[in-house]
Formats: sequence, C-alpha cells, structure tokens
Amino acid sequence: MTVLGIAKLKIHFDTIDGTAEVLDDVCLSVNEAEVVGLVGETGCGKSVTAKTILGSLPMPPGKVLDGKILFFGDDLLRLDKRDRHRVMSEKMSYIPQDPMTSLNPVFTVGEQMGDLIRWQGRRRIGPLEFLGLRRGRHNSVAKAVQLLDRVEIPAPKEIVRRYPIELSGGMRQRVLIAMALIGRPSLLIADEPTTALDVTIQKGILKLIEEKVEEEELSVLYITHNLGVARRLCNRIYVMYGGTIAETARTKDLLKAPMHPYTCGLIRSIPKLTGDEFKGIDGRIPDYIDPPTGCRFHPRCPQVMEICEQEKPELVKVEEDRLVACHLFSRGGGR
Amino acid sequence: MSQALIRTEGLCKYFFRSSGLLQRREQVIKAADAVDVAARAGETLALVGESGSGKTTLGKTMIRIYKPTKGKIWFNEEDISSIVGAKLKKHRQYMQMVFQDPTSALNPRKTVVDIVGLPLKIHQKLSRSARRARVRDLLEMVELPADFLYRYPHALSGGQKQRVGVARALTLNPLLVVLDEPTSALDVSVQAKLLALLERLRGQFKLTYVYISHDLGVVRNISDRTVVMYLGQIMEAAPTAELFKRPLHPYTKALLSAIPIISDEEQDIIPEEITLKGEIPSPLDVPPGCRFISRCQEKTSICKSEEPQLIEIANDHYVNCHQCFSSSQQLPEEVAAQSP
Repeated sequence: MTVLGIAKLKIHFDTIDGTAEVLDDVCLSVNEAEVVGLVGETGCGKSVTAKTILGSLPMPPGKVLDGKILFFGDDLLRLDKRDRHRVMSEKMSYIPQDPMTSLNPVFTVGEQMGDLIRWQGRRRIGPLEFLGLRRGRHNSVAKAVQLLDRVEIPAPKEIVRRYPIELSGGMRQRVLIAMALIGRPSLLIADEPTTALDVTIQKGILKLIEEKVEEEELSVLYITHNLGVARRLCNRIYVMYGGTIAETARTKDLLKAPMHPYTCGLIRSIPKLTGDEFKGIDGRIPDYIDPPTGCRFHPRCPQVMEICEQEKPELVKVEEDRLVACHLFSRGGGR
Repeated sequence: MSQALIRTEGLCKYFFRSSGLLQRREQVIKAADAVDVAARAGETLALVGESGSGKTTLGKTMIRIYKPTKGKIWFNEEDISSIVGAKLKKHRQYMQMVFQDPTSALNPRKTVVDIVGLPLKIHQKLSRSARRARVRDLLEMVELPADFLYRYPHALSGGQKQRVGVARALTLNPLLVVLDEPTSALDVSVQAKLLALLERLRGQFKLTYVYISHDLGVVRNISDRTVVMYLGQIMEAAPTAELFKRPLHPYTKALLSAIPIISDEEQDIIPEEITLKGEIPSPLDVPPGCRFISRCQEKTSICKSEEPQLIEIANDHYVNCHQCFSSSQQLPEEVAAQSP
C-alpha cells in the first residue's frame, strides 16, 4: 500500500530577482514499511520537498503551482487546515536536521517531551491540565522516561531533568527521535538527522533508526546527501538534481549500476576505501531563477546530446522498479 | 627516506579554565597531551579522529598558531616551539593553514584581491599593483577566473571560497600547509575537484600537507601516512595503506567500521562490525590508565592500571595499546616476510 505519493509537484518561489522554479515535477512514493532515501547535493530541493509534505514551507514566498501529495489517499495540499493538522498529527512525524538548534534551550528535556505527550493528537486541553495542576491522560514524565529508555539513552530519569545544552549532539538526536516516535506515527520524515554527528555516533543513530523502523513497522522518507548512509538504511533511493528526480531504483541496483549520468558522477565522486580513483562533476548546481532549458543537468552532463537542450526528459520506466529521467534511456533507446 | 620537515617531541597544549565563585578553581583541558608526530618533506600526513580528539589543536600548535604548553617543535631541524617576534614572523611564511569553514575564514568586508594579497602586504610589503598581479596568478593556479579579483566572499559558492582559502595559503610559497577539514562543508562532487586541485598543487610546489579530517574515505585516497588521535593522544600511526590493511588499535577498527560505504568491495576492507558504546569523554577528566578504556571492547585489567605507550610494533607502524602489544608477538615475522 502506498503511504505517501507525490505526483508532479511543482513549487516556485517569488524572490526579488524573479521567480525561482525550485521543484519541477517531482514524483515519488513511499510504500508501507519501506525506507525510501531521497539523495542529492546541497540546493537540489530535498528539504523543500520535505517541508512541503510537512506543510511547514512558508507560503508566500513559496507557492505550489501544481501537483498532489497523497497521504493515505488524502491530498494534503487540498485539505483544509484543521483536517490536515489532524491527519498529520496522527500519522506523520519528523526528525529535524540539526540537533543543536531543534530543541528549546530554556526548557528541560522532560518538559519539552511532556508538552508533546499531552498535546499529542488533541486540539485543546483543559486549563487545569495546562497549568500542570491536574494530571492529564498520561503521566507525561513517566512516559518521557519510558520513551528515552527506548532510544537507549543511559539513565533516562536523570536526562529528563537536564537542559539540551547539557547533552551531547548524539544524545540530543536520540531525544529528537524519541519525540518523533511519541504519537506512534506511520510515516517518519527524517531530514539528514546524522549530518552534524561523528561517524561513530552516526552509526549508533542509524542502528537505532533501523531498529525502530522494524519494531514499529514505520515507513520512512530519509533525506540525506550521503549515499553510504542511504545504502545502509534504504530499500529504495530517489536521486534528486536541480529540483527534479533524476533516477530511482532499488538501493543495490542503483549503487551497482547507476544509469543517469548524474548518479554515475555522484557515485564516482565519493572517495572509496579501496583507493580507486575518484573524480567530481564539472560545473555547479543550476540557477533556479533561470534554469537550463530541457534537461536541467545538461550543462554539466558528459554525455550531452542535442535533444537534451530542447526537451525535458520524462521519468520513464527502464526496468522493474527503476525510473530514469534521461534522454539516453527514453523511447526505449538504451545506450 | 626523506627527512622530517616538521617534528614534534612531547608536544602539549593545555587550555586553562577557571571556575567557581571567585574563579579560583582552575581546570585543565589537555587538548594535546605529549604528542610526537613527524611529517616528512613532500608527504601528506593525515590526522584523524572524532570531534574533540584534539586534531585541530595539534595542527594549530604545530605551526605555532597556538603557543605550546610543553614540548618541542622542530621545523627543518630548528626548534620553533618558543620563538617570538620577528623570528616567528619569518617562520610563518613557511607554514600556512587552510581553515575548515570557508565562510567564516574569509573577511566578508574585503574583496578576494585584498584577502589573498594581505600576506604579501604584511610579509613582502609589495605595492598594490604588484600584489594584484600576484593574486591574479594565484587565482589561475587554483582554477578560478580572473574576474573573481574584485568579488566579495558572499558572491562565491562554498567550493570557490575554499579555493580562495587555498590561494591565500599558497601566497607566500610555504613549505608546509595545514589543511583543517577543507572539504567538510562541501558536496562530494565539489570535494573531489578540490582534492584533485590540492594534489596537483602539492606536486607542483613540492608542498608538505598535514591533512586534518574525520573522513577516512578521503584520507585513504590522499594521504601517505595516517595518525589516529583520541582525547589528545595518538592511538595509532602507520602508512595509510598499511593502516587500512591491518588496523590494530580497537579505536581505529571502530572508526573504520563506522564509515558509511557504498560498495561491496569496500566491505572487505572493513574489519569486524564494531559499534562503539558511549561518547568521547570530556578532556577535563581523562580516565586513568588507557584513555580509550571507557569505550573499548578488548580491555583487560592492565588497561585500567597502566597507561600504554606508543610503541613501534612493525616497520613504521605505531600503536598505543596494551592488547595490541601483547598480541603482536607473532606479528613481526609476518611483516618481515612481506617486506624485502
């Protein structure tokens, strides 16, 4: 079953210099109990995609021109605010990128988690409960301790009384994961949760996410710029470039035999432990105000053809579970 | 073997912090604690470790950005650990640094020509036009177009800013360049280009690099020798190829096994699956005995009571671990069999 389906999402931003055409026909889907990676470099539109799904993209300056975001069959872009809030608070959750700034520095970990626990899935709570004079539906502190315990934080009873600055980056990220799991969501959107962490700490966090995904049968949209991280977690990967989906395939196939020239370039850019030669991609990411015509990758593409400049390639099915947006593969041409 | 361009002997850098009501209690942070490293002329020496392991402090102390607390630094067989004034200024020309965050390392109010030309103004007192000509050459060297001369840093991308940082470091024709995670803020496709540039410049100008990084994939590909640091001390040091083939220290193995790799071929290089428990302890209270003891999975009673020493257990392969030393008795023959 498809949990999340995005079809032909097109988002523009109004800026002083003109209209930035940021997302251009983005299509992606996340199935039940599947971990899907959204991989791309800085400025390729991965975070904009995530924010649009979560409804946290400021509009204006952003505006949705076209497209659908289907979440369990409901189009999130067309629901009114109240329904959208209800659908999302029940079934969707988010792990933010920066553990250093995503927690409120003036409240203890327990207070922040307690707030979430009390408000979860509710639009209002009684005044006594608000002031903390009456116990609500849950004993929030006990629940917070229990949640922290589940993300393998040592001495959780101690941690709920601490302020975020007293915790290390890895610990804060664990707290954020615990908070994301409070409402037993079906879909988890993780926006580069390990980018700010050391590799050894990152490994622990990835392991934790892996376990939670299995335990709770979560569907995950995992946004990252690191193909190695995506390889470890994801069943399927979408590669994004310049606001478009370049390629999608099962993780193994994508890494073993990339098809889109951008994916090939990206994989070749990563320094390998085997010491094999690696090289980058010439040029730089496109300007969104005046994007290249046709295929957005064509100015940097080593295999550019005449048609690439004129016509935008469609995302076409090349093999089972594999879509590529490149003229090299469209019309059944092959290489 | 060529001779060491820079060599440290028991180099220590402590930071002091006073606390308490009257600021009377003094705490010592031992960021680098009795470190012996050497970089030979023309090689790339990599310093790796987690954040908080003291690799940046060591890099900065080596080239006298920080004043060492104890120990000696030999640069071309001359002790520079306590020189000051004009003598230090003269030595600064030979030792330059490229910083981690290209955005905060460049003055936002100055143009590229001023930023890159400043060392020429300070050290060589060149005229404005002579400086401009030299900066133009430098920009060409780092593969940036000449019209970048009058741009401000905000008008450059991350990769371009870092190239300006490299150009500035090379302005005075240094012998040694300390590169402090120069690519950690960049995307992989840009990183690969910058690393290729650094490699070309090293060959062209016979530079010696000290490359500070936490990315072992990069280190594997660009360095000749690798030093693994933990809590201000060296845990293991070996030629890079050897270190990746035969990591000995439990910390090195754990670091290697934590790398997110992208292919099955790389899997064979990674030792057994190790997940480190806990986090790097605070340098304010370093555990007694071996520093790594709180996270080590191979510890025994001796690790708690006695601090291990950095010992050469094979040709040019140094390890700071009791376990490796006791289990390495069979190793020398193995190494002897391989090396002619």
